[in-house]
Amino acid sequence: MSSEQSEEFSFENLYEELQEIVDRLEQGGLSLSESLELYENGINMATRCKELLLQAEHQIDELIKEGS
Amino acid sequence: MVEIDVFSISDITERLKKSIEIDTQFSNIWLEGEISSLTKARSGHIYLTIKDSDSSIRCVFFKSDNFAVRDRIVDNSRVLIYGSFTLYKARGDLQFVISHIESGDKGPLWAEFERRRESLAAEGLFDLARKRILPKFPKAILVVTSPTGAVIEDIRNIVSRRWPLTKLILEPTVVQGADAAQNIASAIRNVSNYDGDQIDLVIVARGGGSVEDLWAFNEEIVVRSIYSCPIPVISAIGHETDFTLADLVADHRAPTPSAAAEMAVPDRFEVLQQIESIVLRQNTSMKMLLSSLLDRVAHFSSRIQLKRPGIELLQAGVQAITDQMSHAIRLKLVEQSRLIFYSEGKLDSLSPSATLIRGYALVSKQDAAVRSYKDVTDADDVLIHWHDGSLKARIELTGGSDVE
Repeated sequence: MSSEQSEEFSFENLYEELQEIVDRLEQGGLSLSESLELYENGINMATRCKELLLQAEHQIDELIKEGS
Repeated sequence: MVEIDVFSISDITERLKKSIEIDTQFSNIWLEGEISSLTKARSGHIYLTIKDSDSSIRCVFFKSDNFAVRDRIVDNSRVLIYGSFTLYKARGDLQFVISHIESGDKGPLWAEFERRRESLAAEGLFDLARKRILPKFPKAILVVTSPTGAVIEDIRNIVSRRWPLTKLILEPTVVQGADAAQNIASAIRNVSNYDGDQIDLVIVARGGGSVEDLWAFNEEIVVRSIYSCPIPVISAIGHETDFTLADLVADHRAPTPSAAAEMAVPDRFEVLQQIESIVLRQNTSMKMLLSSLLDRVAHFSSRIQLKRPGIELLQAGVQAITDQMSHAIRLKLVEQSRLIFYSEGKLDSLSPSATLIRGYALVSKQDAAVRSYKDVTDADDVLIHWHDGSLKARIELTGGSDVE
């Protein structure tokens, strides 16, 4: 994940979008291609969310090391 | 020979105990003093000494009576206690059994506090209707507190452990003394100087202290700076038993600075779990949709076969497409859920692209990975993927297979 992308999408935006996607998928009534597109988007959102959280861990670790 | 009375220790302590307990001067009375030597025993009972400048009395506050106020009893505080004297026979100690306790901190400052509280409340500063909701995932938190001491350290530790995505910005201020109120108020107003930092939450915090130590947080200038702060404010002043006007005007009041940090940010492991459950819900919806579509295709193809038996070839073609679609989608589901679950650091080492960079190549046929030599036969068209590109190729068998 590049830093540009993490600046573009805040965690909050990604998380909200992810929830909207899963809600729409669960509501149903979509065509196969619409569903697949949503699904793929959702997976990407989830991956980015997790990467943001886990990346941040490393940053904090580094900051703590530098500080000590 | 003179007859003298000799008492056993048990007898005499029993007599003393009875005479004390029977005496209404020493029963159901109020005492005022300061708590010291406070011990909250694991059994739930609380032992303390209440004293003034000259004398002290050992007290016990039994679990059955203290459970509601247990956390609010602190050492060195002035209190009013209600109860009765008894004698603790095992040690012959005089003991006061507490049945009720009240804060005795109602000095001259108390009246001033009440006066200000009423006038500011009448102005609507403490209205519950204007309390704002805290951001779910704060981007940046401005912490208004002393730059030295445990408070900022505690907040920093808790926030970085729970939610390292949040940026913490310290706005240093003195929190005690003559200049404190002015300093705190201008520190809170400084939130507008951080436009570029996307601050969406303010924590105003101070460690524990006496009523006098915390008094700056009852000054009108501080209360009004919180009131007009454009961003939600959490107050965390002193301990749970301390209440200041800053606490009343803030959008949320935390009992301690550490509690403020926990209130401010979510726990990232809980959020990671939520994301995983969303991914599972997505997969379930997708699988349900696919299986219902595949059922319909299968249904139609069987009807075609029934009506026109000569059309087996077409039916087989439909079946092949169906199988292929289902196979490709299943692969995609597996691959993508794997991607999610391995993202914790292992992502790079397990992703196909990292493997390719190490010098491996991937062979695919009709958009599906070739996982076995059995998947290809002579003259099959395949794609060979390297990390930097792919080539179309055709299988030409030149010898026997080399099966492991």
